Amino acid sequence: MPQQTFHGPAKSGGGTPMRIRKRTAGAARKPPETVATASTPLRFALEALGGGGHVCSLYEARQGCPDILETFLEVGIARGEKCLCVVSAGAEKSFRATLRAASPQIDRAVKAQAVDLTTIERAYFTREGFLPQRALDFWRKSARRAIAEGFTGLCGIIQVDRALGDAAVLAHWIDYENHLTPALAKNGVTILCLYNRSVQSGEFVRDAFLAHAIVAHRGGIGKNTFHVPPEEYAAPDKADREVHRMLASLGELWRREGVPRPAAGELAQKPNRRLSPLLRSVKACKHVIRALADELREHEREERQLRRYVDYLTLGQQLNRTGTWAWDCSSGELFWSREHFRIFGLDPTRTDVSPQLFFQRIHPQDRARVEQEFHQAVHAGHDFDSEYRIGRPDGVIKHVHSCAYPVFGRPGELTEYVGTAADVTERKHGEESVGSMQAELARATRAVTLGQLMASIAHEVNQPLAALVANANAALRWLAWEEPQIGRAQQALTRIVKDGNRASEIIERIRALVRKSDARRNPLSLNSVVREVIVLLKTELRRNDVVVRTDLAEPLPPILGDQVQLQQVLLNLVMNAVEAMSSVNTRPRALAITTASDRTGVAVCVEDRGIGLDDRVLERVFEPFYSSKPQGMGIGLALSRSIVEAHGGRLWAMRNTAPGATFQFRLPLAGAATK
Amino acid sequence: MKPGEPIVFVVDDDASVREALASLIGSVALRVECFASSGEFLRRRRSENPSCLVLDVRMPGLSGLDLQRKLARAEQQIPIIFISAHGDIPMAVEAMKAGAIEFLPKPFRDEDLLDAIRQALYRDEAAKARRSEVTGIRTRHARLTARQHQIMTRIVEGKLNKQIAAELELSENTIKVHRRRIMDRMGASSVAELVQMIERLG
Repeated sequence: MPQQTFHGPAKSGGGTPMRIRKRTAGAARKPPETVATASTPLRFALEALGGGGHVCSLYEARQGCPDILETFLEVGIARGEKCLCVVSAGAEKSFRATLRAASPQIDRAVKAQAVDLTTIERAYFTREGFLPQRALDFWRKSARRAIAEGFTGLCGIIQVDRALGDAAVLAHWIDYENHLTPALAKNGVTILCLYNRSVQSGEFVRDAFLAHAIVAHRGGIGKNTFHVPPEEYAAPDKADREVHRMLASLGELWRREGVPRPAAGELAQKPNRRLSPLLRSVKACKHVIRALADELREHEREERQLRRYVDYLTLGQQLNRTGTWAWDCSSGELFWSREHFRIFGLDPTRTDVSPQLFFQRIHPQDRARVEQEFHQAVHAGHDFDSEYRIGRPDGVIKHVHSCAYPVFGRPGELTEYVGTAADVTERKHGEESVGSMQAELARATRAVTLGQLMASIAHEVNQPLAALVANANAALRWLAWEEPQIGRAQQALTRIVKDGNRASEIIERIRALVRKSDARRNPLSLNSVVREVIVLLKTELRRNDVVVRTDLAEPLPPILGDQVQLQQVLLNLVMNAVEAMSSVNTRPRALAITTASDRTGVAVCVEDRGIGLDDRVLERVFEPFYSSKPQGMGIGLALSRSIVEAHGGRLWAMRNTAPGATFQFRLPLAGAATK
Repeated sequence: MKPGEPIVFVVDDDASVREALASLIGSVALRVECFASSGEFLRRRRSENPSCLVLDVRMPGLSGLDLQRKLARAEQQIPIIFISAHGDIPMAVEAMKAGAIEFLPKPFRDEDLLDAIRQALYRDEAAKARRSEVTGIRTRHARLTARQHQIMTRIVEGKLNKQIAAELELSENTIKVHRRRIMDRMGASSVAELVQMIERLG
């Protein structure tokens, strides 16, 4: 027979094991029964053997190939080893069929050329016949080749299911089997020898059996207690040795019952060579089991730790009233943390959470807005930040503040949104009550201001009333003339209408200032606010000999604001200016009110020629309850500033280069004002 | 303007009040003249016709009370009716002490204002008549000789001709002649009337 070397997948070998491993990992997810039943302890044991085992298994023709073949191959494949099967000539076809039928994992490995097949004749025999050395070389070379091809090692299967030859061949064969064990240990090759008892002589099978240190039988695997070490096999005192060996194996058995075990150190000190292969395999098994147990404990510990973290997180979320959520962009699936469920008043075990459910829970007045905000954020791949109310099944309305950020898989590929949902109901209620207190204070302050203005207001109202009464009387008298003066009477009546309207306008302006009203944001012109306040203060300004000059920018873009609140701010500023000028007699009491705008906002400036503010006052003038006036409450400017800031604007004061002070406030344009 | 026709002046800075007052006063057939400020009124030439002033208390520039004081200092007597959009008692007291006819809070009843105007005009007419009478007496009184002045003083004191003659060392007849001349010059028909005239001169 020509010397044949086996043909491996040399060219593409580099990446192959990786691919196989991946698939193996996939195959591990198969239904458990394929892997876990009889083959599990066998698998453990085979795995524990590691590289370098020499296993024997006998079978009979009617049984077919034993289970171990499949498991043996799978373990080898899983380790990333090359599998090399050597079969009797003529049996390749049936063996290949066996492999295909064995398991998908093996089938895949066959296709990936990780399993190779050759014949005993090609591998072991030369023209001279069977040479043990050549057979050993075959395995050494194959192992080296497998490593060179990128595999982690080699596992071999020899199936002997026909007569090998004459007695000389059989003797050589046994010799080869005897020397294979140490040779394999050196090269890290694992070999399974399958002998078909039906076609071999009993002596040959027995001798072959004795040559193996490990034996697999009936789905199990263990130390071959009848193993004859190679150095003893050919010794002349065979029977004596046999007795000795049998006694020794009894000791093994006895020790395996596990009474007094040698200490771990003692065991380790023994040279490895002296340990019988079975003991080595048992030890390996123990190691594996211990390692598994350790791993299991570690796993449990980690799980406990993880569970604790989850508990901490849940507790933290509960304390913060902040739930978390994640939304898978591709599947549309929504995940809520337990706290998220709690905030929404839903039972996590009985709720099927979905984006539809989420939007459905949002207050009808907020729903459309939130949906729009969310879709805008997703569309642009931006952060999502929104506040909304939710209606819980128990009827409670909650305020929720939700923030989320997008998570990208590959650049530009949005995979999910991860976010929080915080219950801000209490904060919201707090804000509302602070807001209402502030509104109440503002109203009280307005009332005080109006009290100070009472004389002016009475004058302002009585003026048209006096005219009205006089006109009415005049009309009556014109009509009472002998020759009724219709024309004169008509003129008087026309004036009555005018006076009546004027009086009601003034009353309305005053009423608006005292009215208890919630802050309303309407687009309005600050010019109209300035004009209203000037009309309201006309008498007061005149009484104090203050000359007002207005310079109002036209057209002035609208701002979003509350007319009454802004009137109050300006009222405060003008009244302060009037007071600041009340002691000034050496120069005209001039007050300038100007408005101006730019791209972002509108500014109103109130400039007086009064006593001015020194640095100390300038610093503190906006502090609540600080006043530079003897009768001042120290509320007006603090309140004005809070009103302006609530409008998203700013109020500040500065000294003039000329005598007096300037107060200025600036509000964002209607389009720019958001929150 | 006819001589002796009464005239009402209105000073108020509020145009609608001015118009209403002009109409009301006009409806009782009185002549009205309106001014928007004290200054405007002061610039107008005085007339001898009986007149009165309807004056707003609170006005920019010279206020109603300021104007009242200024007129008093200039001895330009004119009856003043104050009108005020808010009843300020100290202000009213000050105005009345300074001789105002009336202090009316706005809004007021038309009769109240018109009565006050009538009263003011009557007073002004009387005052004007009184002022012209006294002026006549003073002129006549100034035309008396020194001797006649001596004798008249003693007649007014109620002394008899005989007593006067003795005091001045003149004859009783001389005194009688002088007495007749004094009565003629002063335009008095009786001693009682003469006494009244002299009292008026103060």
